[in-house]
Amino acid sequence: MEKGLLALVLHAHLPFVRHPEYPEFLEEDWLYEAISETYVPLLTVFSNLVKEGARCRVTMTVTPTLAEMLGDQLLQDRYEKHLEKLIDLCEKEVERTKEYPQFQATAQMYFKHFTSVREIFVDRYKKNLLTAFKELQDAGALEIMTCGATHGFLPIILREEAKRAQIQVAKNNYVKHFGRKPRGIWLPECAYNPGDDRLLNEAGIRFFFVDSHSLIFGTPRPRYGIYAPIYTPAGVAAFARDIETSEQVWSSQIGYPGDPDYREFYRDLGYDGDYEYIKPYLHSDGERRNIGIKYYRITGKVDLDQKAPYNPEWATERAAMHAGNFLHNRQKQVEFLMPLLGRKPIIISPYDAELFGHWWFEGPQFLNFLIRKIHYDQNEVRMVTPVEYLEEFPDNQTQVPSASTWGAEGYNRVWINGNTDWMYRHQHIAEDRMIEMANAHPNADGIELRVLNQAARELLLAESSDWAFIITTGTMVQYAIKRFKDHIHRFTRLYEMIQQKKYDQEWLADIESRDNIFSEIDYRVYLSNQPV
Amino acid sequence: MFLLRPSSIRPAVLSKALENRSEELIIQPTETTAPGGPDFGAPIPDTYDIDLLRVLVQDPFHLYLYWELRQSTIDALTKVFPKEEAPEFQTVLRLLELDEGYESFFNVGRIGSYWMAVFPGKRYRFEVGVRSPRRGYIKLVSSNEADTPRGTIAMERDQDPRFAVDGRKFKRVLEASGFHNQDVLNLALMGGDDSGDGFRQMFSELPQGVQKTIERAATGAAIESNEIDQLPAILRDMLQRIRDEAGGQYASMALMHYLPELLRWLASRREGLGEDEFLKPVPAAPRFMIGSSDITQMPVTLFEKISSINRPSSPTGKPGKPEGKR
Repeated sequence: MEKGLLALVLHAHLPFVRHPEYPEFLEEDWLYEAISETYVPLLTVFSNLVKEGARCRVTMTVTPTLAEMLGDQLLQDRYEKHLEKLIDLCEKEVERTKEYPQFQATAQMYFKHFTSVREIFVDRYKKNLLTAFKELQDAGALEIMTCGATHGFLPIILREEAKRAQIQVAKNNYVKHFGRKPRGIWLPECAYNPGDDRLLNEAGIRFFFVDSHSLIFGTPRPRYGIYAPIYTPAGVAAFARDIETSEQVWSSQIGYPGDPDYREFYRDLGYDGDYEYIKPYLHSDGERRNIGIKYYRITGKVDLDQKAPYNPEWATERAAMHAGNFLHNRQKQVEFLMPLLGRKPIIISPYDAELFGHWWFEGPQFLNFLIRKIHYDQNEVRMVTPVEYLEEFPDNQTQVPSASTWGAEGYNRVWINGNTDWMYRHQHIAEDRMIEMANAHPNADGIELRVLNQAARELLLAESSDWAFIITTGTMVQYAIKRFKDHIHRFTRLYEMIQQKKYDQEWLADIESRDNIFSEIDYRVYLSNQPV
Repeated sequence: MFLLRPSSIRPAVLSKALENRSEELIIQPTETTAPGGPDFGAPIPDTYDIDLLRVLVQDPFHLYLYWELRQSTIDALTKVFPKEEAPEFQTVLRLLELDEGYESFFNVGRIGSYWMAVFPGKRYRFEVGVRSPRRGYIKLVSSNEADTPRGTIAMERDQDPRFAVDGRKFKRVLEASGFHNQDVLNLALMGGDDSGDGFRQMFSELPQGVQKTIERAATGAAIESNEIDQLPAILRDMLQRIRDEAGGQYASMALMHYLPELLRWLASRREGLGEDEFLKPVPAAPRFMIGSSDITQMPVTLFEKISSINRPSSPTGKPGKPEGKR
């Protein structure tokens, strides 16, 4: 007998990184790695399930920045070249590892994997994976959500017009790519601020997600804890993250991805390979980097040079076992919760999509096994999407959720702290200026229209939460600072053009071609008095 | 957001293909991305020559504010008054706690920023203006309003009987949701269901000297040794050590950091729990690593001296995870 529901939520996002001004660019690899390791494997899992007739219900963000990159011809062509090089290397690896039988099966696995990715990416979807996402949405297997236009961190955007722009631009971009309006949104960084729900309602959004303490600390007290959504005062449903399922996957201590049989991320052929052999597959600067071919398993708590060879069969078995364990825990969880709550609980399990495949190589296999087991092996837990849930359970409590994020400590510290605080003065002034320009020039055309639309793009790109996140985590800090400052600089120059009515057309054309996101943008989204 | 791991960051270089053997570990610097060396982006303005003041919420206990006043704004104002009075005007930042009308003034410069330690569940606004002994305070610019999250459960039960839940049942729902009772500063459950401001009540029950010390610490002032002596013993030792090693301002920051636990400690005593409960990892909201100061934040290393800082703060706080994401 069915006792509860499970909503699996995957947030697929990458910042907009596209540098036509260089023949190759390191950070563009983020997209290429994600396509090879996460997006194509996930799409493959889901489409096979649909073909088989197994019930698959996954709620997934394809953020506007990611959608724009997946649909961009320059990046599509560059990815194809990147893939061809990898396949070439894999062919060599299959030959070379004949002398190393402990690595041969893994080498063959990579060759098969990357050639399969090429077949799917190039032959089946003509380099545009958005088609694949849309097909799965149309088949009912995916509920694709939108996000903030550029993953702007809403609690720190102070002007309502600028928050609205993040949401409305995202909505319009979703319509462009998926042919209908979005029904749900993944708020950037899962960051909710009371009052933002009005803007979601304006955009026709029916549901969003919050971290668990958002409902638990909400007003009034949530009758069902985190196991039923609430309606915000604006009438939008908020679903809360389940702590237990998050921990089973996210935790560095007890999470599945740390199993000794799984692939070790940090042993990569880009570093392990003989330099002259590997050099043609590195960037032109010749620096060793991860290239995505890894031959070792986690093994245990041993030094990197003590890792044991990866065994794909063992890893697959382990993924199946972990899927079984995950399902077993959900069965026990709903069995316990149903009598306590007096209502079927819904368990919300959100993860960053790129965790599956890129970081946790076996993650897509885990999902494949999990969804199959849910469909074939039991009837206590059913997968649903939020929209399906709301149609089945329309009667929910009304509450004001607490301000919250899914960042460390649950609030805004990851994005606003002593390393990032300098950014917001510039961002806020750019927001003020954009609103000022829109109100002063509501009927722009010609060159003025181009300048205003490009100013809107530059502001949106500066607002990406990714830059502050990268600075806080201390990874590619220089790049994040550069991106933020470049967009503020470009915005400021565009603002001055409007003020002085002097236009540098050559420079404008150049940045239009670089920051070409949101071809459909209309700067009037920043008007203070929006037309009804 | 979960950024893909950058390809360029890796602690080790292991040469030669596919052989399990020990190699020297070489730390790689963060690399430049664009050809031509480090590039931190195009220039952006240092100031914007406008009057502004903005406040941002970091968490229930911390606000960040920045401001900028044009010199011409200050000059225009002081010109209204006799010339000899001009030197008497001091630029000040005014904190307004909107619920209870509490206010505080800080001497500041014309352009600046400030990390402010505040209380959860409150509404704040700030102003920058000038003040003189003869003319009093004159506001020049006002901030947006900032609401700090309460950081704990609500006192309000739903009025709709379908969704109303009593304290006992709610405890079970909390536990089922992964929030064990000791992980939530459950003042409402202890102080009756639907009435009273738990934080205010608890704060008022602290000894007068402790209250004053906290109020001073909240302004970023350096607390003195004799003030620390009035605090509970277990906190006293720790703060004295920090004060000795790093100064009174850092001791203030540490005190603000531990404020939620001080309140919880008081609540625990009401329930008949021992003083040992004080250092359990049971904050009102997840722990906060940042203290208050005018421009700097508390060094993380300082917190290593505080015993329970590295423990998980709540069921959702994961130890040992390096990323910003939980």
